[in-house]
Parts: sequence; C-alpha cells; structure tokens
Amino acid sequence: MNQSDEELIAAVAAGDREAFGALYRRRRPDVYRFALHMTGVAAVAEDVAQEVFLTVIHDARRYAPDRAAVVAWLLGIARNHARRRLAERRYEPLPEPGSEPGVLVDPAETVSRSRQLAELRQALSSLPVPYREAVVLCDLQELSYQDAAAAAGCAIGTVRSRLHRGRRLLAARMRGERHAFAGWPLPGWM
Amino acid sequence: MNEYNDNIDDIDLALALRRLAETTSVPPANPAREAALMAAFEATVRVSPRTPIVRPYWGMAGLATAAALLIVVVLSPVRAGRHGIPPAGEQASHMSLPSSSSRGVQPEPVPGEFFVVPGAATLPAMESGSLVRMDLPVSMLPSLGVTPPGGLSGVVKADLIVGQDGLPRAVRLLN
Repeated sequence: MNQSDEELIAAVAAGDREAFGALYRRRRPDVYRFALHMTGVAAVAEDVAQEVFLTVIHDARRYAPDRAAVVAWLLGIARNHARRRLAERRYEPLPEPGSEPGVLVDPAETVSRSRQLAELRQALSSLPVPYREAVVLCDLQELSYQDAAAAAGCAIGTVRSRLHRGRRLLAARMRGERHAFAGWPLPGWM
Repeated sequence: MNEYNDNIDDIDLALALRRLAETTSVPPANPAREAALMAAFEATVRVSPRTPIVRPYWGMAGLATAAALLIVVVLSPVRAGRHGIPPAGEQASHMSLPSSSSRGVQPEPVPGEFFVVPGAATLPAMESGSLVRMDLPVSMLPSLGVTPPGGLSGVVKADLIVGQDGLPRAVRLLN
C-alpha cells in the first residue's frame, strides 16, 4: 500500500476500514514513542496510542492538510492525552530509569553510555512539560519546527525557545546541576 | 550527577538524544487492542453513515419544506390519527406490515456464550460501552481467550463488548 498519510486520513474519514488499519499500523510506532518519551511508562504509552486512534475514528474529518502533516496532527492528539495522564499521576514517583519495558539498551554499549542514556531518560522525565514536549518533538521525533508547532499548538518561535531552554536544562541536569530548573521562566499554566 | 557527565556539552547532548531515539523500541501492536479499535471504527461508521455535503441554501429550502409539511399534517384533523378525531362514521384503519419472513430477510445467527477477554478484569470498571458485531479473523481468537473450533479458518462472526476506553471486555461467537 503506497497511499500517503493524507490519502489514508481522507479514506478513514470516508469510512474506509482498511485505510484505518493501514494508518494505525504505519503511525502507531510514532505515537507510542512520543507517548513513551513524554510519560516514561510503556503501559501508559500503549493507552495513549489507543486513545489517539480512538480519537482519529471520530475526528478524521477535522484533519486539515494545509495546517500540519498527519504525523504532527496525531502527535498533537497524543500530546493532549499524554498531558491528561501526566496530570492524573502528578504526585506519583517517576519510574526508575531503565525499568520501562519498551526501552532497550544495546548490550554492546559501554557501561558509561548505558548509564548516560538512563540518566538522560530520567532528566527528560523531570523536565517541565512544555520543554519536554519541544525536545521530544524536535530531537527525538525529528519533526520540523513547523510541524512541532502544530503538534504543540503554539507558534514556531515558541517551539524554538522552548527547545533551546529544554536542551540547556537537559545539559545542566546531565552535568549534575540538581537545581537546574530553578529560575527558568515557565509558562503561566505550569 | 556522576563522573560520566562532567563534560557534557551540546554535541554530547545531541548525540545522547540521537542514541536515545534509536534505542527506543516499539513493541508490536497488541492484537486485542487492534481488534478493539477496528470494532470501534466499524461501530462508528455504522452508526453515523457519511452524508454528502449539502449547500446551505438547499438545507434551508429543505427545512422550510419540512416545516410546511409539518404544519399541514398537524392542522389536518382528518389525517392526523394521533391528534385529530376521525370524522363520524369513518373507522381508523391500519395496514399491517409484512412479516420479516415474507420480506426474505436472512435469519439472525444464533449467539453463543460470552467469554471474558483475558486481562479484562484488570481494566478500569466499565462505565459505558457498546456491543459490536464484526467479522473476526480466526487467528485473532486465541488472543481474545477463545479456542477456535477445529478446522475453522478465515473469519467468524463475533460479538464484542467494547468498553468506554475502546478495549474489549467480552466476546462471543455466533453460530
């Protein structure tokens, strides 16, 4: 099947079951990865991916191809569901690094690299949500600034600044600056 | 944090992020979840068939026509059986609908027992849901906790009880 994402979404909106199955199989990995990086828990990422495609069933006709790529639109939906999940478990402890079943570390990696990855995951999980979103969308999902802005529901300039701050916060965290987030301006709704 | 991160800079961070992206694996899709999604899709499409886009003025004209017809029906006592009184000497007559057998409708398949889907007990309590009839691949039955009858292949008709979260709670096969 060589249909583009946009063609698949249009077919889904017209009630094409096969197109929905194809879109799910093609884009579930992107949605799952995003949700996993945002929440840090594989089971929650599975739930978020499920909720995203349930939303697609009802909202496929609302997709506007001139506003964002399909992946960005899907990740925008995933962002809303992931935020709700994060709000629900706001006071729960963060998962232990490396305990997530969906995150595998190459055994050939050196111990230091493995540790660095585990610490990076932990630092990412503790990043304030807007900065985490920017880092995940741009650096891990490799979305363009435009698509990341569409997914995050903000301006491109906002994505750039959040990404810049997010990277600096991550680097500071990785250097061991435990209070790296102190003093950083956060959006009003945080 | 520790001795491994003392000299991290932007390039290190970019490399580490790249490595994190590359080492994040995605488990294969759970067949039960996929089946539930497909069932939800079919149920939604069946409930809300896609309607063609109608220009607004045609909609307005349609509404006006419907309103006019409604007024005529309500104000006509002779034809409004529920609202009006039949004229003297006139008996209300009813035409019986043809029975389903006379219309050549296929007999409904006989449903079997419902089986709870594995793992359904650990799911959140079911607050609402829907009963979805669908063609299930036989190969998918074991993941739903049903042992397919011997020699069966292809697809079977089945009813799924799907909860508010889109996940199946129970399944039954139709004979």
